[in-house]
Amino acid sequence: MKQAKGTLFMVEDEDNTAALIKLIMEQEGYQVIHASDGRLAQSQIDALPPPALVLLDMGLPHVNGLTLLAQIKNRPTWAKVPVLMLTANDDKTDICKAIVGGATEYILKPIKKDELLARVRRFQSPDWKSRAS
Amino acid sequence: MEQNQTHGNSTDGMQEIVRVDASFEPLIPKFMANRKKETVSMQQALDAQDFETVRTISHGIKGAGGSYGFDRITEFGAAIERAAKAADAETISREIPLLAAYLDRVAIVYE
Repeated sequence: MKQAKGTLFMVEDEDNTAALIKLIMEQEGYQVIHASDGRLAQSQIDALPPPALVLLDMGLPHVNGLTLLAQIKNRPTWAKVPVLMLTANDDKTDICKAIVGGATEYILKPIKKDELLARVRRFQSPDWKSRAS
Repeated sequence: MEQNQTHGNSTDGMQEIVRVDASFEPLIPKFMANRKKETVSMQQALDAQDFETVRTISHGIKGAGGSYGFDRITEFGAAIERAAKAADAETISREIPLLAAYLDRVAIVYE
């Protein structure tokens, strides 16, 4: 287990994918809060303090990832939190919508551990933190 | 997480070896059990001509398989998802048993 890096908010409906991301990110030093569908995520975004990082699946039951992204960006305390969108579709339209909507990065599923960690570690760099503040 | 396939034909029943990150080992039994359940669920949905359920399940399989190192499972998921979008029952009915057979014969090496 690495040094504590804060809270990661993950919205992912596929059980095994969620379990895998949780394992990888806890090993990386994050405390992971998981919402398994869009509706649960909506209430948690309203209720929780801003996390260090959000991993947000694009296709979710009840409320999709793009709608949640807009909610995150409209909430002042969450607006600057880096958001990595996860998608199993390489549909460029959805990916463009996510970037336009304020997503920081996107990762295509299947997720590869090394790629996920490389992207997440960018947000821990002093360079990123100074740009985001 | 390379996959060593001991043959080039996925239908001949030979064992396939998949190398999986050792830190994933505690999650693998549930991962494999879920995939086996999903082959049954997809077959039931196909029998009911419920292509949307087949699509939803196969979409999840596509995303999860390779994440754990099982790129072949992602390929099955992608093929079934494509077929479900096209309401192609023939392809789905061919791919589900192939996926089930793969799940039965795959051997996992943790490294």
